[in-house]
Amino acid sequence: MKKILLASAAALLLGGVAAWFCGGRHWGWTKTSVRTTKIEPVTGLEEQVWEKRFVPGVDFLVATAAGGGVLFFSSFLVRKKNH
Amino acid sequence: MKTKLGIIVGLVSLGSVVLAAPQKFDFKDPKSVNNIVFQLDAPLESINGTANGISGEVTFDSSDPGSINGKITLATATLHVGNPMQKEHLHGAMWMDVTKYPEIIFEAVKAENVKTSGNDTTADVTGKLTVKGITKAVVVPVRITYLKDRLKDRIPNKQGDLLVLRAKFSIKRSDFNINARNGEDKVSDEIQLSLSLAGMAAK
Repeated sequence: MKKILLASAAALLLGGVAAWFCGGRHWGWTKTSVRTTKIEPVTGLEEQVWEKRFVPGVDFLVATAAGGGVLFFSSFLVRKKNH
Repeated sequence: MKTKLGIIVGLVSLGSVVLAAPQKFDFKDPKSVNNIVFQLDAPLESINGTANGISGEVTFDSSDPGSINGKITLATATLHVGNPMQKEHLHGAMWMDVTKYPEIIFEAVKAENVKTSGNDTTADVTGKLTVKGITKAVVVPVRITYLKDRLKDRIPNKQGDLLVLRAKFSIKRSDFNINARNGEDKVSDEIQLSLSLAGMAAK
């Protein structure tokens, strides 16, 4: 059980960092949609287009680190099996 | 001969009067390009968003651009930001309270410092801005572009003119009771706004 908790903590922490890194290393808040602009040819106006995309932010990093921390410290509460 | 000439001259004059007459431009955009971009400075990153629920009517006379007047309405439910929690707060009672105040209205009253060059006119438009039920007078620097007979290029099979309005200005959220209790240490009092609007007058 202790090993499972430690492995889960490591997986959550590393997975969170990996997802954040691959998701664009965004230092702001997590986003579920991203804005892009297109120029409308006739009027020359900037059209705002929202594209559904998950961009993990700093809050995502903190949440995964906190989850990993909880699992890590929980592992100390579990007694090691005596053989 | 004189009578015929008189009729022709009369028709031409009438035509020019008709052509120069003020036109009403509808700003409910079937292509949903019309938008307002807003930005507020905040500690981690600025709050950036858009809204596209725009409607309204503007009267514009190409021979007298300074006489521009009209009303633009924004549906507050269309305010959008990329972070879902921020969007929930933005629509909530503390911020825009979109259920109680479904519209933001700008009503143009007069235009000053009008300068026209070709199709483009710049002017300082004074109007009444109503946000969350509070109405304040604001002066908005506007760039107006009149595109004669260009509606068909935007919407096929429709004849008419286009009127493009662009404006950048800022308002204070404390003036309109937008989360007024939240100090400037968290989110700036100033809201920067950028308007990109196209209206059409079909013939």
